[in-house]
Amino acid sequence: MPVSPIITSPTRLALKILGDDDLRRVHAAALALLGADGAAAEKSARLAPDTVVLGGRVFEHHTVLGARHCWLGTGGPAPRVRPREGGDPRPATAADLDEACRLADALPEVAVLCGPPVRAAGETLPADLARCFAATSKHVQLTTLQSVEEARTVLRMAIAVAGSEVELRGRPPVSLCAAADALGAASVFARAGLPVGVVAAPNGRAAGAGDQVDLATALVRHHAGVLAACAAIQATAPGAAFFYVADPALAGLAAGSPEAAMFQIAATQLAAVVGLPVSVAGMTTGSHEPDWQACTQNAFAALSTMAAGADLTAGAGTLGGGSVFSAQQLVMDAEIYSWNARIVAGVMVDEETIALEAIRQVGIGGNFLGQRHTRKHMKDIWRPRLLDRSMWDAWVASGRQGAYDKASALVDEHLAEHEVLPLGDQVTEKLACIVAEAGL
Amino acid sequence: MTTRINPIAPRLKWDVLAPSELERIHEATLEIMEDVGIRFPSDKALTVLEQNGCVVDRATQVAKFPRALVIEAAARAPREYVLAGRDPAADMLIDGKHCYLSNDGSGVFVFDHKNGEKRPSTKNDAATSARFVDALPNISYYWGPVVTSQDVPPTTKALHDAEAVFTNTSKHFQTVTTVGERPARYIVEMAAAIAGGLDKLRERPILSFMQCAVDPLGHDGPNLEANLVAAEHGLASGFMPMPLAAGTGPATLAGNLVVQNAEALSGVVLLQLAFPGTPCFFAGAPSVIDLKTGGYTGGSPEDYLLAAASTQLAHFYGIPMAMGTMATGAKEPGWQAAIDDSLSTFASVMSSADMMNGAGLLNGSKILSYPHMVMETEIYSIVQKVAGGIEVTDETLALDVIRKVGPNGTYLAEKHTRAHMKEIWRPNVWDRTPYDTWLREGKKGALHKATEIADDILENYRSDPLPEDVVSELRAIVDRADKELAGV
Repeated sequence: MPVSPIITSPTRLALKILGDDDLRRVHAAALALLGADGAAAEKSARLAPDTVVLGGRVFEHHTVLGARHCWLGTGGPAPRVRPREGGDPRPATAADLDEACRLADALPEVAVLCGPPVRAAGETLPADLARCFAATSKHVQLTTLQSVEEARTVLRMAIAVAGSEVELRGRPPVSLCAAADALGAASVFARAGLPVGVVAAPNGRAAGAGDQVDLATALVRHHAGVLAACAAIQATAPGAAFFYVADPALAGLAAGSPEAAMFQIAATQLAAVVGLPVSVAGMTTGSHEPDWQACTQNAFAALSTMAAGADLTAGAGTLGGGSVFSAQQLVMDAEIYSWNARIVAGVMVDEETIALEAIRQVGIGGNFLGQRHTRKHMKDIWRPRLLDRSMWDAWVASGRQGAYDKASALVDEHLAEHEVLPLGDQVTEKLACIVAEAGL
Repeated sequence: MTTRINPIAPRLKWDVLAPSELERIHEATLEIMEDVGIRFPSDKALTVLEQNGCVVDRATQVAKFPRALVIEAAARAPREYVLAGRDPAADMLIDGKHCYLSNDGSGVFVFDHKNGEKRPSTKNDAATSARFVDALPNISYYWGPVVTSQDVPPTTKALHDAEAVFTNTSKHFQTVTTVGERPARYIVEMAAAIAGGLDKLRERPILSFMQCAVDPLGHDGPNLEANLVAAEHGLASGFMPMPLAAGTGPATLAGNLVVQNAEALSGVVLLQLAFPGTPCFFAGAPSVIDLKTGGYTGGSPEDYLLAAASTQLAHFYGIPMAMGTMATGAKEPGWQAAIDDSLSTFASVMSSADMMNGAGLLNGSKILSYPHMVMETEIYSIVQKVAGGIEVTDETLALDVIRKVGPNGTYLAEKHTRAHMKEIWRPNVWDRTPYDTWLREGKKGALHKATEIADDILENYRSDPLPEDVVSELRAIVDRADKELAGV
């Protein structure tokens, strides 16, 4: 069955928050913090691959980090779900997980299912992952896996989905994004060819959340933590696919704050210093509802990180700092991504786009609508799915529908109509067996 | 000197166009100005242009510009000048290093947040809006009026607007509704009455002018003549093209920039030929057509790319830019307004737009909402923080503190933290309470907090009043204009 390709965009902008001198200074301070290990850590980061493939089950769902494109990832795993019909969040169920993954699969803007998006109450991580694999053919990035035992189970599942150990290396269906506690698990992944991104404090412990420190201080600690983790991974699996994780929460910064956006821009620059692709937390609104606040926070974070050149912006679909999944929020965040993807694609300037002949033909006071040049290019103009551009009276007559109402309708439509590429009975059974055997 | 306005001095820079791309658009602009020309439906303007070397066709009212003349005239425009407030603490130094936010302008309705309905705006609303803007430090100057006086004679509406504004704010006033030579002379007279005479006004220009251009490649006669009056008195003025890509401009952004640049630049050239060295600026509110309705989008990603690129172009000539910013198409201060306002402010600030117009209106600059204006100043504050960048010094790197705290400790008790924690941005209207607290307190979100702030200002804030004799003089000027311009 045909699948829709993921929407991505080249990033032509290069937003910088640190000047070259400041960038060098932060990098040097991080190396100094690592002491005798600093030089080796830097070398290992530079030797790591500069592109990382996050494989989907089909070619159209592959994501390539490090190729000057921006991609969108969901947030998660959220332990609670905001009901689609409205009302207060409740603990997530397995059905919620299925629905969240299927919706993410249906939305062409979503490239990676991070988390997975929802953590079903009472289920194990492998059980959640098996449901997630069944509900999407896109890449799944785990963010809470910690134990080596779990990692081995997940690896067996990933091999089952990919087809073989060799195919797994070519198109790894799962990756790991984690803090220092998961270094052992990350090593299991890395040795098998599954991409990882890990942050450790300089001596291997996680940076403390909740600390309020200077941004420069936070950057030094964080950068040192990434380099230390990269060195540890490269030591155990030379040449392993490693991406730079820029999560403000791991640096002790408030979710959705201006400082969080600034941190991620700077971290994206630091990743470029050592040539690593970068994944940012991006959309981590602290708002409890898909409202004005959620949009300002996610719009800023997404634009600043995408304009800075981050490869993957994650966090879409969550509220309350990642604690709640909302289907409408996922659709609304996808719209924010789509908007920003158009911005970071920049302005093309060449003979065709300058359109001197069309300007001459239309002349003074004319209209470009009838021009062949316009017909040729008007489809390039970005089109919204959630914005209301009607007249006031028409809007009132329609019941004052806003973005949330349109997002609700889109969610319903996708969930009613979208079909996920089937895993196949054999793989499904194999996954069930692995989950049962694991009994984690 | 203390200041009561809060401009952004961005350390971050965002170049949408490479130097070679700027050069290419500049060359294409000159080609269009020379070959196709620009329409100036004003004998006065055409005479100035003709006397200075433009090829003028009086029948079509089109002037064609030799490229050397354009470059020479644009170079005469001052790079730096002050837009003064009646209160010197509200002075704005336009220097290419600061971004100043104004309110949005020329709305025609007021949204009553108490009953959820809109009503046509009146002179009293123009006055209230000026008092409201006066209260907000993040809004540096008053642009417009925010909403026009629709309960006064149409021919002198701009002067009634000005009376309402001048008497209710001591911030700088940039008029956008004063068109035609005679109304322009009246409003200059009003400003001079406040400043203490025309000479004093020239020294401390509390008034500036902005006019729309007529896309593509044209101007409006009364607008041209109003700005010529401004320039005659040393008051800053500029022209705002608003080409809609795929409608009044090419569908491709680069072509749209050529059209916009030609219009804005031709206005600047006219002003500099007429009054060399007069302060002037580029303005812009570029957009694309809504493919569904054929109308104005009221916010789209292309708008922000065009805004950033247009600002680069203005600065390429060393001329300040007043950029349409915020001005959401949303009908209420919700999700759509948030994305429009956030991204457009980000684009304007990252490209260092000198003036940004502005906050407070919904529905494509038609409907005034005070809570919305407060929420937009929060967005401004966020962008200000991000644009301030990250300071990297020994003190901020704090290597000793990191070593001391170690991997498992907390920074909360550190002296370094106490010294710097106040630098952390704090919200006015964002909610950061835990979920249960938020639930218990009645799910009060940003709109609720913004409404409380707005109501407090509306109820309690009083701006610095004008002296009684000046108020009487303004009244007399407007009365005279009502009589003399009636039926004109």
